[in-house]
Amino acid sequence: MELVSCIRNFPRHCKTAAQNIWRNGVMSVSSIFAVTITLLLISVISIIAINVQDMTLDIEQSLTIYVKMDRNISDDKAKEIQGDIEKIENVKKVTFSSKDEELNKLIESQEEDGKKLFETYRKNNPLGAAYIVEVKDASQLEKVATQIDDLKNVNETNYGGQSTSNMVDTLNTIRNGGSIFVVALTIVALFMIANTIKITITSRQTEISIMRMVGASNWYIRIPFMLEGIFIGILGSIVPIAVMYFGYQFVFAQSADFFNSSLITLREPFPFIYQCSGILVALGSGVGLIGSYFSVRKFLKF
Amino acid sequence: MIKLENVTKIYKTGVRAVNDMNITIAPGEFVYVIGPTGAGKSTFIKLLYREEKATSGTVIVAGQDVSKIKNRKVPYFRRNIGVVFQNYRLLPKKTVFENVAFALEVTDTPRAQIRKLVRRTLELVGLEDKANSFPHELSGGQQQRVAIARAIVNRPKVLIADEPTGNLDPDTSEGIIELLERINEVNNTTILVVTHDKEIVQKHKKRTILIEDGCVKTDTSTGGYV
Repeated sequence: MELVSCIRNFPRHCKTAAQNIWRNGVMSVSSIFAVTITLLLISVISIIAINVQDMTLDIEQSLTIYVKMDRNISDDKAKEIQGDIEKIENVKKVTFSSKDEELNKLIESQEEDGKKLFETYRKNNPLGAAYIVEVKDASQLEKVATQIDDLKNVNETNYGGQSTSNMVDTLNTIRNGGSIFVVALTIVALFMIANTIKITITSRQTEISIMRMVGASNWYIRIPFMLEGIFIGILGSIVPIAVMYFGYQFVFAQSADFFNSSLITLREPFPFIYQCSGILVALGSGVGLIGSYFSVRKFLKF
Repeated sequence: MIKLENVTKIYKTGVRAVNDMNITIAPGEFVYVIGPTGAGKSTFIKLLYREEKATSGTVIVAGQDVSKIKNRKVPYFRRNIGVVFQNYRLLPKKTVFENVAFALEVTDTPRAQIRKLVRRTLELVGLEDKANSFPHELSGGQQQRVAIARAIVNRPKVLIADEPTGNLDPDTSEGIIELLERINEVNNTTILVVTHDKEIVQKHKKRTILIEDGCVKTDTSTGGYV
């Protein structure tokens, strides 16, 4: 029965909530401002963190294992173990490179003189075939390399050795540190928002007691406050979204010119900005909702 | 309408505010409750609208055993009772009309009906021209009239007024008591007025209950301050 009444009165509750925001003037503005500041902070830090993560992932993605096969076996024979490599856990992609292709690569990497010199080896190619193995998880490079080493006709595997492992570890630390930082910051920010809402509601304790006096059910009292929290959250997220929308596009355009490198690229602005905006609105209104729910609950003794 | 049987209320602090109290008030009665401060008057009326629960004994209001009402049901029970306070307790951000209408909105009254009832009630208390004012724009007496309008707009069976004239000058107080008398006559509402105001009790003689040390000291149907 109470639920039915709540649904039927929903438009009225919305109106009350909007009216309360308007009539509480300064209090509402300060709440909205608190939400704006915290969301702004969260969005800036998260965008930086997300892009750093992207970059570290890009770097890791570019790490590969170079597998040299024995020289004295033919391409066909070398190809036999492709299936075996693919079966190894964590292997993402295996690219075969025949003897000729290996020689082409070598020739291309040389100066003019070298090119002529190596061209003479075309007839009697001393190079072995090779595989370029991409892995799913860069921290597993070493393990995968050892497993490939054990396969038939594998001469040598090369993944950059210890220095690569160290780099992967460092990138992991950066990523984890970034995530922890963002999560911690978000929690702190959310507490700030919830606290501001609590203050505004505490100042309206008498209002709640009056509502109870005239026989308003608990939900009837709670819903306008919760809606108010949602509205404040949404209003507070407008500025951060606007800043992000224009700011990120600007930074993205600038960075493309500035870094001019394939390693350091920012995430494409769209749909990234839309996703972030959605998250900001959800955060703002969600915290507003939950914050007011718990703040009001304190004054509803029954 | 109101019946207390051997009611005792002991607060958590150990204060015995109401001590073995017995009172019966019939429907349509107009009763003054008087007594020195700290005698238990406030606790007595808080027991009636279930702001406090009796430690022992039974409190029956409008046919319901108040201590047995589940917490969840308290709001619905309160719709049977109108309460008026010394400090008016109006919603400061709502207009006079909205304040009075609020008591009906919570009971899911249709909008047209609300408008009709609020207008009629504001006429009864003589504030039909202040409908769109905010409480802070009104005088104390006017605010108290709004509070009374809010308390009676949903036709409660019982109206409890806790020091309704405590903040008002004698002339305005007079007006408020006359208004309460009119409500008692027109709507046949049972009315309980807690007061310190000797003049009023002497002038508008009604049944008067004197509470002292948590008990009923005297209960005179002829009225007047003892």
